[in-house]
Amino acid sequence: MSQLVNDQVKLDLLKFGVRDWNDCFNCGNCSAICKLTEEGFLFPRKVIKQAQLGLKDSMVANLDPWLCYYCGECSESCPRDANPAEIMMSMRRYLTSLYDWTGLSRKFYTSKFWEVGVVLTFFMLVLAAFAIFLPPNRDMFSNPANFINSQGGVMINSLVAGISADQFVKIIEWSDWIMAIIIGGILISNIIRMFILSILRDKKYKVPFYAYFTEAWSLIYHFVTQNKFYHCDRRKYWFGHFLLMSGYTMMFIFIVAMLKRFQTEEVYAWYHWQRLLGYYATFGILFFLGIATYQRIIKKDYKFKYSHASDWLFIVMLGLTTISGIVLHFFRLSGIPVTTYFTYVIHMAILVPMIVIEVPFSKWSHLAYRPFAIYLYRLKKKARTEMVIQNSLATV
Amino acid sequence: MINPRSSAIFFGSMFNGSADSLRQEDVVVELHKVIETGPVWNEKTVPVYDPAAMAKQIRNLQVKRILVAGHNVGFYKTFLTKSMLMAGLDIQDVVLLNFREYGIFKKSSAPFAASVIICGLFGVDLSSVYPPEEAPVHAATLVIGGGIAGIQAALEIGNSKNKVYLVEKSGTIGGHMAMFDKTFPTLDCAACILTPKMVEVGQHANIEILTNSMISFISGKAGNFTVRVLKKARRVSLSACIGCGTCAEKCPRTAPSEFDAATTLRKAIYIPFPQAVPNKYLIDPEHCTYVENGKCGVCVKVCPVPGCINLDEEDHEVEFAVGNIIIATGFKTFDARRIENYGYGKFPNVLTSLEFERLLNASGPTGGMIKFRSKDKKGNWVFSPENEEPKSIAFIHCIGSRDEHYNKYCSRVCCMYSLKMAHLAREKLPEASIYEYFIDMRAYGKGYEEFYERVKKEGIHIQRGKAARVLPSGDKLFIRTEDIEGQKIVWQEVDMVILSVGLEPSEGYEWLSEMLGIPVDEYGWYVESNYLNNPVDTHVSGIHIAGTCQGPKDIPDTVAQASAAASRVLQSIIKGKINRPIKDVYPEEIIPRLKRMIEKKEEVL
Amino acid sequence: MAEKRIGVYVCWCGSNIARMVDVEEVSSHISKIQDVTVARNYQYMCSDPGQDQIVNDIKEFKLNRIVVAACSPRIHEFTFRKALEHAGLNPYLLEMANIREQVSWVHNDRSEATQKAIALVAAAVHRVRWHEALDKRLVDIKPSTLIVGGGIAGMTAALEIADAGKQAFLIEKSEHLGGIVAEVDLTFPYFDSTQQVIRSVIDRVLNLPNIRVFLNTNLEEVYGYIGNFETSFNYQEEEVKLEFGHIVIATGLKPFDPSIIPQYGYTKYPNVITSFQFENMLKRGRIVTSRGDEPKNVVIIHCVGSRNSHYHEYCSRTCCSTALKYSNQIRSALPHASIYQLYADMRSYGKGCEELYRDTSRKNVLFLMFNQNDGLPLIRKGARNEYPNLVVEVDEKLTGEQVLVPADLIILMVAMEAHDTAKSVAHMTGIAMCSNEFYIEKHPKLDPVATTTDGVFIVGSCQAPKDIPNTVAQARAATARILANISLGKMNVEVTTASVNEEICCGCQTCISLCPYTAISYDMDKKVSRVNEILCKGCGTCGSSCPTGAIRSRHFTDQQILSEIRELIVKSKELMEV
Repeated sequence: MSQLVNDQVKLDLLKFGVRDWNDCFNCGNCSAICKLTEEGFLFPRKVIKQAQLGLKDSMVANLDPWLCYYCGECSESCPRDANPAEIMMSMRRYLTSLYDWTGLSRKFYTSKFWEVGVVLTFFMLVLAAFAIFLPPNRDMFSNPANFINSQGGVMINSLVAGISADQFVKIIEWSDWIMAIIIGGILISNIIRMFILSILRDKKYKVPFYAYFTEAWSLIYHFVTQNKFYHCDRRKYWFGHFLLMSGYTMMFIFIVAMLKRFQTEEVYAWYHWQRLLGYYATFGILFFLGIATYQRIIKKDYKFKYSHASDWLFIVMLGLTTISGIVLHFFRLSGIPVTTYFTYVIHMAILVPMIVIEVPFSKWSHLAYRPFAIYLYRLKKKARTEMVIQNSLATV
Repeated sequence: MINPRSSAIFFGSMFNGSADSLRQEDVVVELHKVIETGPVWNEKTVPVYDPAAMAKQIRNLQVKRILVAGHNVGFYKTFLTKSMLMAGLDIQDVVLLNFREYGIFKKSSAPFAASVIICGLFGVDLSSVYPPEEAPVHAATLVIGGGIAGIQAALEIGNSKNKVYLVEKSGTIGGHMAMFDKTFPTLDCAACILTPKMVEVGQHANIEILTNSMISFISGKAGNFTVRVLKKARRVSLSACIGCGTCAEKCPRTAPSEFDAATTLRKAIYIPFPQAVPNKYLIDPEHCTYVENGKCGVCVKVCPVPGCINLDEEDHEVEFAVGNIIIATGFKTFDARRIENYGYGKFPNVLTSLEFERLLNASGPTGGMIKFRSKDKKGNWVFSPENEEPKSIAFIHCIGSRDEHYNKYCSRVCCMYSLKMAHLAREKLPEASIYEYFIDMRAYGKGYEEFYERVKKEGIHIQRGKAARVLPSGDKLFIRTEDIEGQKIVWQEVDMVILSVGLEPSEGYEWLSEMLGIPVDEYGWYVESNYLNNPVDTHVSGIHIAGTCQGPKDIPDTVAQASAAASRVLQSIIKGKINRPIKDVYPEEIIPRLKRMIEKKEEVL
Repeated sequence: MAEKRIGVYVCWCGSNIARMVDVEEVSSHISKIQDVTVARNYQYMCSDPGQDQIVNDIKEFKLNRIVVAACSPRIHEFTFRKALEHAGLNPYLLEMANIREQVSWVHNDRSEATQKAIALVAAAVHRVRWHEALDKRLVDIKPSTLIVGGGIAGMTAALEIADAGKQAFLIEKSEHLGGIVAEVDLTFPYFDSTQQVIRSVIDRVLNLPNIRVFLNTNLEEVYGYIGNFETSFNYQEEEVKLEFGHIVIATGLKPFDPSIIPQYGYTKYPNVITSFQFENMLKRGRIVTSRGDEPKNVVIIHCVGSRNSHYHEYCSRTCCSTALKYSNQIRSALPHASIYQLYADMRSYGKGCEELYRDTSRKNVLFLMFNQNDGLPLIRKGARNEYPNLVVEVDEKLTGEQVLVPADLIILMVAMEAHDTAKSVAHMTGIAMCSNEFYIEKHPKLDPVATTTDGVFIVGSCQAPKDIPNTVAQARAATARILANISLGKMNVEVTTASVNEEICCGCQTCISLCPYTAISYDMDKKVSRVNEILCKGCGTCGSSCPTGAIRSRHFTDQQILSEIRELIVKSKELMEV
């Protein structure tokens, strides 16, 4: 089935951060220099060409952008300076917006106003929520000593007026879970759409049923190891990325799954495993943030030359969250209930929008899409091999 | 008469080679010093994406004509003509003034640019206001560069019994063509067709060859230039040397051979190649022990002809007068070391095309056999006939050409010579597998496409998709490419990789262009006075360009150009007069002249 | 007659000959033949030392016959003749044996090849025995020149000659000068206005006193030889007779007619036009569809009739850059139109053209690739769910997808063909044509403008498709040669001509009917045939056909040829026995 060429599509793509579409003259240098390309999964060149010609069906069905981890080698050696790596990045944003049925991620990617606006709104909402439902316990101003535990740390859960520590933790935990479920729901529904668009709608491939199970392992494996990224030439990037994502996941588990054990009255000794892990996570995130910010400012490597609004917002939000988290931790240890309470509130006010915006709709959604994309890509690969076998049998 | 105020001036984009290149403002200032013009536009000040609005503007400002001035004047012509049509005017009144044709590139020539525009405003051609003055012409001609272009030009002129000085910086004439094995697409051997011409030049009564010489200074004007040539000390007498070669046998010092593209070693006293013209030895002072520290002198002792070798000979200058100059300084190949991804200089069996050309050549390092490169006793990498033959060879096109990081232009010959080499390699190694990786196959010339088809049929894997890098694995090399038409990624293991390097202007072009006042483009190719109908003249009358110094070219085009340049020279000699077009006319002086001229015209009418 | 002292020289031609022929054996074998004084072999006989060898030997061994076994005499006979002259020997005492084209390049068994080489050289030795010294003859060169074709090539040549103060005659079959270039609006890569350029050229051609222009005129017949050609034709009801020393042929090209390509539906769809029709649009400043409105989608299809075994195998050389130029002009006039280029290879090779390619793609022009071997793009009416006007079905190579390109206007970049008149002109002037009906130059590399007929030159697109700068350069290249000859005033002509022994001639006039150069006339009162030795090219047709053997063609005497053949037969017998 032949598709109608439409050169207007690429104009739409410009909104997602593409700079120049037209420089590429199809020498194939980029696809050749990239270690991750293989038969059936040719990028960036082919992806760029599809986008130029505006072959929408092929673009949507195409998982290749997710197989690129942006090492920037293709851009460095591109004879026409067409910067293919950045185009791949933009394609990922574009695909995210296509997968997302709510249409929000398109809004967030294409309009700064929307992205920042929504973040601020949530910030305010959270503040308001605390002011109304979880106001500070006046007592802490007059005699803070009541809020200090045996280790001299602040008993963080008792700072709220009117309710007991357990109730407070419950409330937070519950809201955590609700948030997680909503986000999860959106993500999963989008991933299903991704599956439909890229596998079911793609007539070129007929995925054998068994593959769905035999390839399932790759989901976890790639999520944990980032194995493909590891095979790029630029391993340092993998390392930084690995620190970030391990740290972040850890924190996520702490604050959602294990909040009860995490947000406790007593302060664990510094060598307690939980606290150590916490420190590791913080370090991981900070380390990454440091590098990323520095690189994006000096703009030396192609990977960091061009920064989309969403990239900056991501860095800023994560940065603020982490810093406020650290400050909170500090106040808590040094046993100052008042500041502890207010930093806690602010910490929350930043954390919530970050998770609500970034994770399902913006830059962070890739933490869900990538592993699935790789899973789906493996399905396609299986389908290919099947096809080859079929054909060879047919010819025999 | 045309009212200059009724014409608008639209500035197209300007050539921007350097800091002192001409800008629109400079011209406008000069212009408005002397004359009131209509509106001055450029692509920023008018709605170039809306012909209708433009038409409106034209009508409102009552513009009747539009002059498009600058270096890239053509692009907006179609837009402007359309606007003129919409404004109900005559499209013939969109006039292009290409500064390129007048040799206007630098800030300094802003007044001249203004004068050109003024003539345009009055609808007359500059040459008719200032008819070029005629000057007597000296019959002798200087040809700079002894490659095929220089040789051809020299012969054309020499055959008309006029004196020609052929100045060549190396020890022999012949240039790059002499190094080649066969020529595409006819595959006749370069030596077979070139050496007769070299011989002819060598024996020609009217051609004086000055090899091992450099231009040191040129002064004067068209028709009568004074040329000073530095004849570097050859240290071997051209008349006495019998070319026996005893000296070279005994000479203790070696150096990489220029003729063999450094694939072999020659002695410090040497003949560039067996068919060199003049076929006499010369000494390379960079490598001669005697020149370095006054010791050695073996060659003098063994030379059978007394007084033939004079190691103490000094460089000296000769001076002579010529009427015309033909520049045929040719090209040098791109230095593949600049692109690390291909590992030239790192891996011994990654070769440049020129090296491979020598390898194919019967008079080359291996007597025409394709062999691996290996270390010799002294540890230099050389080719020798004893080495193994490669079983697979890959050619990578567009090395340093068509690349924003290196040379933006297309070198025009690489596709074809790569095909030719592939064919020759197939001939010499029928068993070997041969690969070509190209972006666009530019087989444009007479019989080229047919040759391409023929090579395809010879079982050579020709694949669209640029090779990104060459990686070593043991003594093998790996090439990774995208087979664009086959829609797959190819990891190809090969024994030998040939880099089809592009062409670059030969050394010293800046110096020459500075001295003679001939503009060069951003890459250093000489700019012709009119790309269309004057491809061999420069903006300096009496100085002509031929061959690759004007831009990459294959042999037939080079030869045609050389003859064309010769024709310009002969024309002036036969007529006995040469035109000196007026340059740098100042607006102040041109206007009264113009007025007078136009009045005269009107009286006549 | 003095004793024969023959020198034989076997050339390696680098490895060209030595690879397949054992040159050592050849020379040693030949040296045994009677009268052979010296037999040597060398890497490049044609080179300086090679020729010096011959010269020295002639002096040293008093040689009076020379045989060079090397490449085709077409390439180097002249070189070696000069060498002989140099040594004070008559150049016609040389014979060449072609052991490259006829042996090493066409055989793959070394011993056989060597034997054949020996046979050929031996034969040459036996032939050269009977060679006789022939004297050069000089002819005067008429200072005027005839130029056929009033395109940019012809006009440039005319101006070049006229500017040197010499007479030029320019005949053009159409009613105006300018040729194909006059059809063009702008030129790549610098977008100069062809109109401006050509106008000034035409003005000069028409106004210069020593150019005579004959419009609406076809070349009818040409007599004569280099330096002294003549032609006559009717011009404006009067007989014109011209005499000239040289002929420059610039018959140019004509566009390929795409209507024979079914896939493109040219003439079927009014909005499918050729590049030349489009040039015309541009010249008039209006880019419009047949309905008169501005196209939203313009498709440019490359290689129409070029690079395709069904139509023309050759590449027309200029279309790619022209297509890029069109894209720019369309973008300039229709800033919001979609422009699609369907190309095979982007051959923007010339100075400034690669940059033009880059700038064009930056102007938002889409490039799609097709491969003619996998079928041409198909132009058809768009279906309902596709595009109202035309669509082009392409097997797009860069994405590997089947795509439809919407189109309101489709421009076919048609190939260049040799002009219709080319054939007759070739016949009249006796120059050769290749299978593509382009003229064949004397040497594809080193003599691209001369032909095998002395004094006749081919310039511009009649030799092969060409862009303007190359055409102009060629035109001037030809004039260089002409001006040189004119300035010399005299030049050597062929001396290996036929002569009639009037005692034996029976006056049957067979030869007269056969002579392709109309060089033989009939002497009424003596009742014998006469050969005009300047027109005669020494082709030998007459000699071989003469019933009485009265005609003797110099340098190709029966004795020479027969002894050569005899030796060949002897040698081949020997081979049989081996």
